[in-house]
Amino acid sequence: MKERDESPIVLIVSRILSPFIMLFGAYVIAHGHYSPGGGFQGGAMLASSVLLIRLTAGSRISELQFKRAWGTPLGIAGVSLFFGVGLVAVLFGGQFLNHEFFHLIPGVTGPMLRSLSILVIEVGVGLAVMGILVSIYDDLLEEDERREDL
Amino acid sequence: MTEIQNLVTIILVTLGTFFMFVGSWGIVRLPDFYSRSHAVSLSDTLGILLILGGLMVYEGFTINSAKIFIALIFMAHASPTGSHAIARAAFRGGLKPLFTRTENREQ
Amino acid sequence: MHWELEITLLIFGVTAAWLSIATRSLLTSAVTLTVFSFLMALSFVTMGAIDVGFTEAVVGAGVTGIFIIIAIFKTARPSPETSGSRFRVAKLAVLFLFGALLIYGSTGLPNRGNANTPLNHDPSAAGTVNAASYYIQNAYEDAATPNMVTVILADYRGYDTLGEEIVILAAGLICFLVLRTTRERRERERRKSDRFNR
Repeated sequence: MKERDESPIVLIVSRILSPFIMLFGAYVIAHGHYSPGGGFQGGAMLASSVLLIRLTAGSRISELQFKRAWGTPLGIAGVSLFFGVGLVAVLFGGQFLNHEFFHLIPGVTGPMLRSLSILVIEVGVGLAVMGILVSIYDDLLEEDERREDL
Repeated sequence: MTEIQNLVTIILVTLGTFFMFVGSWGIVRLPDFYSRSHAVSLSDTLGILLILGGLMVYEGFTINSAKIFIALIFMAHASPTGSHAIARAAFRGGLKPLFTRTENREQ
Repeated sequence: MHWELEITLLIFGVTAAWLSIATRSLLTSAVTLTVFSFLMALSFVTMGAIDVGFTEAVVGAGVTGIFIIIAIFKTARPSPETSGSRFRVAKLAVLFLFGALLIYGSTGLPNRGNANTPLNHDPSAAGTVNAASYYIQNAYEDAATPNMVTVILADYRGYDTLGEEIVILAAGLICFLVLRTTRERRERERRKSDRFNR
């Protein structure tokens, strides 16, 4: 891209706003049971809070917030979490992704169990979307950042 | 109480729409990029702050009002910064402002 | 519901879509595409599909714009020469005919949210329990979650969401494999450039 032009106003405001966007993304993921939102939207908001710092401050500062190497493993971890919830149901004698059989927590059964497993699934989806979006951004800008480092 | 709330809401939202209208009018009427961005950044920020403030007054002390307040703070930071970034990028990109009147005075 | 608001949003949306096609600059069309996404998000919200509108606002108007602009900067821009304008009248005629066909077809659709349509009858025309009314009646008892959309996405239709996640992961991995340069290749290029510099 063009050479980086660092305006202190943009840097400071993005540094102030980014944690709040991240907090709102976590809220959207966790509050998806009661209000519009869920894993996909919250994950995209988490990714956009990371991308804000990437865009304004450059790769070297934003590595402090979210490492370049974390993106793809985080996405794989999110999808594995989703798969894991389904497989736990299989291990306890049910069908794949049938959350009635998610008997990891003793004493919680029926609808509450399904609600909890929905929460786990939303967290997995959120992590996957966040990691993949950030890693796509990093892959797209790979060469330029290297050239900047040299 | 409700009447006062409604009255304050109407006044604030009307003022906000007025300022946003002025900003849009500025986009159409003003000659070059910098004056247009000036008009939009100032009056649109003020307009949206007034509108959100009016909606807060309309909601009263509820959780929705708190959410609108957070959105208001976000807009108050993000909107001027975005305008600043765009204008700065235009300046760095080599866009010259229009200086018709000063040029005439120098001549 | 709010037909004035919907018509205003649709007019703006059509204007943004037309601008994004008609403009010469790729950056302008990227920006107008994000504007179009945001207007679509607003019109989804007026239709009552707040989850879909939220997704469209975050992904379509937020992240996709960044990706499109980066892709524009990374690739070479074609020179702005005029495209061949042969069969212009025929193209316009086909376009208008297709639009007229769509409008004619849309007059046969039932109104949005009409409970008396065959789609919402319970039991349905095939004699089974209708899926939509089953979800509406049983979502809270089944999963103890007030937001029905979340229950459908993560519980009733878990396979679909899993497939969606796998698609996203595949997209990310493909970008990783195609675009990310390995460490050995980077070292090789660095050595080559050093040789050139000497």
